[in-house]
Amino acid sequence: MSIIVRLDRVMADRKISLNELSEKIEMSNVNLSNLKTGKMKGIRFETLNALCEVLNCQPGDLFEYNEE
Amino acid sequence: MNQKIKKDTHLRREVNMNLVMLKKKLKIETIVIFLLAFVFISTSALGLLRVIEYSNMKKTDFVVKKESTELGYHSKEYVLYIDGENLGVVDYNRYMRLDEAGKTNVKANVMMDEVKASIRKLIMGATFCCLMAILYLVQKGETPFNKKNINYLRVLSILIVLLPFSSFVIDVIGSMYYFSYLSGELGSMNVYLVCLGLVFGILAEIFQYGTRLQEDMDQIA
Repeated sequence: MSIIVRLDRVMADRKISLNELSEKIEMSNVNLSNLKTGKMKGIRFETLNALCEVLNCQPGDLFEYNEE
Repeated sequence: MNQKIKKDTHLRREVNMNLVMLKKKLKIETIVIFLLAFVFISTSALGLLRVIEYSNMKKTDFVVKKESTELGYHSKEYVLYIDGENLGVVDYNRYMRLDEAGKTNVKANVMMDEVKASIRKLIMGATFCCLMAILYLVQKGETPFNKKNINYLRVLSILIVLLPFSSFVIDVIGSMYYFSYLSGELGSMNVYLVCLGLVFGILAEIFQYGTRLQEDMDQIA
């Protein structure tokens, strides 16, 4: 897949841990970890909305398209 | 768009609450099914012990007598006695059939019936165990669409189809061995059970499709 997840970068910038973020967006640690490591096939708008709200960022900050 | 997202979140919370209520309901049903499975399996074991007991008894301990009925219409019934104990009315055509030597073999018929009943109860007990396993997984919080449930449904399908055929096969083998001729019975109820077994088989394939969809959904955050 050519979409790279940059969630770990944004989390580091905001200094928020996985546990804290998963609690705030009401998502399990396992699923959030899988999302962070790019193991998920997709993301719901609902989840994306919650992430952008908590991390105070844009969807484009979380994902990057790589042509390779 | 925000309203749709809020509505979706609310729906998901409602689904989770319904699942919690379903888990509570299933707890009682799981216990009932467990008790049924226990009863069937234990009575099956007792039946097999009876078969062993009967096999050690003499042929003369098994007698069928013609007796008057309680109705008082001067009609008679054939009653089975095992070691002097009245075990109720039996089918004359089955119990009084003759072997190659021209003699009746009541003991053989009794043992065949006991084996059939025990195996039927064992299969029914196993059926309830499968049902209990399916409900237990859902009760634990797992989604019903998983590989274990597919296998349980397939086993359930095979067991339900096996139920009528087990009696038929025992009848055929028993009559060949003791009476030297083929005899078996498959009634309309048995055909219905075969159809029911096939329905569970189809359900297993539907659950397989559901499992693939569930796996896809689980990979969406």
